[in-house]
Amino acid sequence: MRKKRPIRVLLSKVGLDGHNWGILVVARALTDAGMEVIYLGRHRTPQEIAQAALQEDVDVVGISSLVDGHRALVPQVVDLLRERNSPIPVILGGFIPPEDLPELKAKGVAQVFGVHTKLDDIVSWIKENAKTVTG
Amino acid sequence: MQRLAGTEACNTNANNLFSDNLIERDFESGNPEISLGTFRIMKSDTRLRSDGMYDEKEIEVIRKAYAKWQAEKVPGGKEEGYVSDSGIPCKAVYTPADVHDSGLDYLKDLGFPGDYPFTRGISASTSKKGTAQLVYTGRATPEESNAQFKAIIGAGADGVTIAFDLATQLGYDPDNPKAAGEVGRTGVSLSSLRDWEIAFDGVELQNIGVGIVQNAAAIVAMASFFALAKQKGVPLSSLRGYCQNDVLKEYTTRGNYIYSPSHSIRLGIDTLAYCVERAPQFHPVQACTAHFAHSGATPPHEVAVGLANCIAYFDAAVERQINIDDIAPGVEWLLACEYYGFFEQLAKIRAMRKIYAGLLKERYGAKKPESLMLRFRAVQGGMYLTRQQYLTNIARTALAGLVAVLGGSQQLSLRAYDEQFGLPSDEADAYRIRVGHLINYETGVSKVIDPLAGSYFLESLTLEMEKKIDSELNTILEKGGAVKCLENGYIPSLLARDGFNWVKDRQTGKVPWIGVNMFASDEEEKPVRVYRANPAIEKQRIEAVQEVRRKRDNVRVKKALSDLKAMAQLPARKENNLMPAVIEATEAYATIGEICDALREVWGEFQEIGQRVF
Repeated sequence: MRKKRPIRVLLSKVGLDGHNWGILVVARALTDAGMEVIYLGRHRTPQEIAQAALQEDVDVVGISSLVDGHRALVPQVVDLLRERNSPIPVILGGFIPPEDLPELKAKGVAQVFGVHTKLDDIVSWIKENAKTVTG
Repeated sequence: MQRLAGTEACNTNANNLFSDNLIERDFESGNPEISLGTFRIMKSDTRLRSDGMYDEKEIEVIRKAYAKWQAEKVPGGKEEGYVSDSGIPCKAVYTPADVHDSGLDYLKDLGFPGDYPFTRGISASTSKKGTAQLVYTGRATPEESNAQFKAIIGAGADGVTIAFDLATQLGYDPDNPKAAGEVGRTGVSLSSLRDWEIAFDGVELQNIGVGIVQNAAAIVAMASFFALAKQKGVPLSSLRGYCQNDVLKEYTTRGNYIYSPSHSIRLGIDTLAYCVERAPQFHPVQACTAHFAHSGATPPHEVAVGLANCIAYFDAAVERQINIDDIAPGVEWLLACEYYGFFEQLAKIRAMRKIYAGLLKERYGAKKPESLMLRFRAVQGGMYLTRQQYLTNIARTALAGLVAVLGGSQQLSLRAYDEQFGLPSDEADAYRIRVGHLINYETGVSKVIDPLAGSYFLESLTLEMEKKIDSELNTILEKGGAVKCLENGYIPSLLARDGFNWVKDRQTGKVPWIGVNMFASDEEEKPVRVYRANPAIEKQRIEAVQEVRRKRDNVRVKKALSDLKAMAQLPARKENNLMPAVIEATEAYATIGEICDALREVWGEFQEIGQRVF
């Protein structure tokens, strides 16, 4: 069903990583591009993120990781959403070593953006892949 | 006779300024001086003042000559200027007229190194060894870290700065489910005194400085370090180093908080009051501005937010009837020192030293010279380093180190060239120490204190920077100070705006970034050796902490933790300092998770609230 509302994105930190510069920059870029952003904050669990994504009916979940926790925790968010039959794409941004990419993709992470990714590229990707069709 | 560099045309007053005659004449006129040992403070309204740095007539001559030079030599008849990142309009050429117009008063604004207001530095002498290097380090396990500490000290560093894994930083033991996937990842996992014993086995504490990058659980880390020193027979009074322990910045940029700001502030003040008395060479608080800069803040915002946080600690201490001179000497600083915006960085350091001294003197009435001095560790921002053409990072660290040494830092913390790929390799660690040695020994720049003083540009810029910092700091204070501005969002918004601009300016190419938006190559490059923690160590660390819990005197642990809880329930007052109770718990081999949990039971935890961003 077509929904007539702006794209809604849930952004969150997961696990113990506290660096939020990147995610706040992305939040600003997405709102500047007309999207609606819900920022869940730091030290969130995969359960909290999945629950918030479903409750807020978001189109994309974006998680930022500047440490190592993404390897274990981001696939958990994907699993929790799929268990609830939710197709919401989960994307990851931050300091992600290139050797982690194949495993993350295999575990259902829709896209991974590195530290030098252009903000415009994140915006475009979300516009193309969000589950909502903007109206 | 001393002179400002290159001021042939304006010698009269500049020379008088440095002569003994002027100073004596001023004293004879009855201006009082407060003597504090080797250190002098003039009362602000009666301080020595010169009649200006330059002779008015000479300045007019320079102005006319400058106008003529501009008209004849400069293409278009006017040189192009620019606006700095701090919003300061800068020119392409500076002359004595700019310094004159800025109103610079040598004795009031600069003075001498080691003298109030410390603009030129906190020490009256140069150091033969140069700026100390306490190298940032810390690998997954206490055993691995022990080997690395020894390697780093063996390579000629003056000490180590310990980075911990996130679990340790947030007060979780390795077997806490929340620690899963993070044990030993961002640094070393040290959960009990036993781990500290292993990490420092065979390391002589009296010969090195030790930096401890702990904030939310800083009190536990310091208690462990002191317990370790006691075991090794090293008196606390001879311990050198610092603990970061600046928790307010955790709520904005760094994110490693456990308790509410007010409980965190209590812990900070307790450690300060305890250490200044017993471990005067160890700095229990390293107030930070660097983290703001390293999330994109402009220099004036970096400094203003850092100072506002420090004011919140000092104000809380004063409220507890603690004498400012009993805690201020325990504070050192962590300042960003970047190659980017080279002169603004120097202006920032010099202006901040002056503002800090004035703040301690005027706002708090501090008397001890050590209270007024801005000691600092200089740290380069990792975000300037690139994966692209990554060897360029060695040059970036060298230039940042040059800023730190020219700026009169006490400690130097350079980055390793491969940090954009993970924790530094041994090779990169060794090179960063050598880069520091090169600056300290080969360049010779540290043979003269504040050697760029008197630069028409730098002096003008320093005064402008001071105004910018003052203005932002006053805004924060008028809005209720750091804690209020954290709660009402003023500081987070300020930092978020700067952070966004930093990224945007580099993505659009407005700010040059070699290898990224200029001279970029398509080739993927990667260093041969990259360090990454072995995921298998998690199990090893869980077994280690469980063994500690089995072997210790659990009756003693239980009593220590319940005493700590009882003490934490009492109001934050001088007589309820939590440090002795935490030391007893660590000496009983209570773990960091257990000690932090004891306080969590009394105080609860802080959690950010989810929000809609507009």
